[in-house]
Amino acid sequence: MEYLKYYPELSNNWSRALSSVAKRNTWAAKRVEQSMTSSQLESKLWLSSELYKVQPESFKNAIIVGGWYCHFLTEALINNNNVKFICNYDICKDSQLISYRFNRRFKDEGKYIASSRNIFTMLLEGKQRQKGLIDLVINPSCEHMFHMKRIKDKHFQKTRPMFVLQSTDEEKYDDHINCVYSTDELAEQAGLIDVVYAGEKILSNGMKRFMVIGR
Amino acid sequence: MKNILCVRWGDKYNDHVEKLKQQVETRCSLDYKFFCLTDKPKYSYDIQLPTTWDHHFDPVRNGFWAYRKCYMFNEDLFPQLDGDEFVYLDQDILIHNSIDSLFLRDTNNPWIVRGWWNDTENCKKNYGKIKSTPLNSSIIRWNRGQLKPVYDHINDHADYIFFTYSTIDNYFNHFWYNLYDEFEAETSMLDDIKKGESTKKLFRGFEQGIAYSWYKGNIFPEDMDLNKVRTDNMICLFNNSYSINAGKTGDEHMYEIDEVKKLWNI
Repeated sequence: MEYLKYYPELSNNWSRALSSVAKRNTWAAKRVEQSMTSSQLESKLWLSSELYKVQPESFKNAIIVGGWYCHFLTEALINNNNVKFICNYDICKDSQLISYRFNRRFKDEGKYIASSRNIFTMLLEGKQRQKGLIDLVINPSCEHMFHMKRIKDKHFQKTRPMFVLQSTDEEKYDDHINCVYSTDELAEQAGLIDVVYAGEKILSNGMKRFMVIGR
Repeated sequence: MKNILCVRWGDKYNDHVEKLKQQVETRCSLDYKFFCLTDKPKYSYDIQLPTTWDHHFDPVRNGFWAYRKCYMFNEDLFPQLDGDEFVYLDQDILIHNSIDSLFLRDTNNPWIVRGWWNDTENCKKNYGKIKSTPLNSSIIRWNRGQLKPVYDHINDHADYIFFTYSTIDNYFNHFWYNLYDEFEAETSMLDDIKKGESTKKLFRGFEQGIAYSWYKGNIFPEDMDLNKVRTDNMICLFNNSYSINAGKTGDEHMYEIDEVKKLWNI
């Protein structure tokens, strides 16, 4: 699906989230604005639609690594890809709190939690482990962090969840500490041996994004 | 026994250690031993630095470049360190007043410089970008064993940490300090930390008046004049990042500042 549904509960959550950031987290206001650009939406819709082509059936338990405020992606995954439960891991405490406001409807239904744990060095959230086998791992911003192979090796030695990874070759930002220059490199960084989708896309802001899906 | 430590590697700061030692002799009235952990031991107070983590360091990337400071957190690596109380000082500092109180304080938790010149909201804004840390490791106070979990954590996750963190201060901020509840450590005794794990309840930030920054100011937002001597503080810091870039960024080296040169004559 190349769009997000806009419905009253979503509208309520998002307007309240934006209002509370403007009042209580003013330092994050610019970042929230940057998280809602057309490029951000293009990137998340691309992820959702290619994942659907690969596996139209639902996922039960998903990890998002570095999901930031996770408004677009959570909505797409739950309502377009029928993902039953999501935990968004982002080390930034503000991201955790603000993402809860954007996703209040899903949190209340027990479909969404957010955590500021660093899962490169720490265990996964107990609440997520209680949900059973994790079958989907998404990182929409691999350029911001260490190789995803560490996550794969640390948490998934005995299981083989689907990985969906996005990154870029755009080096001009100093927090892009791990750029890649091809889908092959992105897959190799994560140690994926069974790649079912690999593609690249120029977003409306001119940034090139790479995406791989595989195990 | 109390130990006052500094760390020196490479060829920079050749004469800084002796100047630091002189300052400490003037400004500390307690019984202590002075040591310099260095890659090139030469003087009686020098101790050889290990090289255990050298292979993780990529000179092109220059990430986690001050990692050698973290060896001292495992005191057992250095038989010469026979006491239980430790103060670490950077070499590029100017001590204005007695440092005795660094030892004479509650040590339920280790202490580190909380850079009060930082805008906390800016630190929060940039937290995920791994910059704008409120911590500064130019002065650290701890008791034996308290920082061993940090050593173990670096040891266990070295490739991740060297890749991800440009400075040790950003690393400390992410794993060992709670920017969102800065006084949490004050009210918590350190529980046992399992090897390789971390806790944000570890560090306490020194109170205002202990340290200010020559290049960044003292207390945000009310006392932010740059390049200003503040003798009511204990210590003036000349941040490493600036001395590394001295000449490149237009900032002078601390030894080239006339006002500071006068103060060296202690």
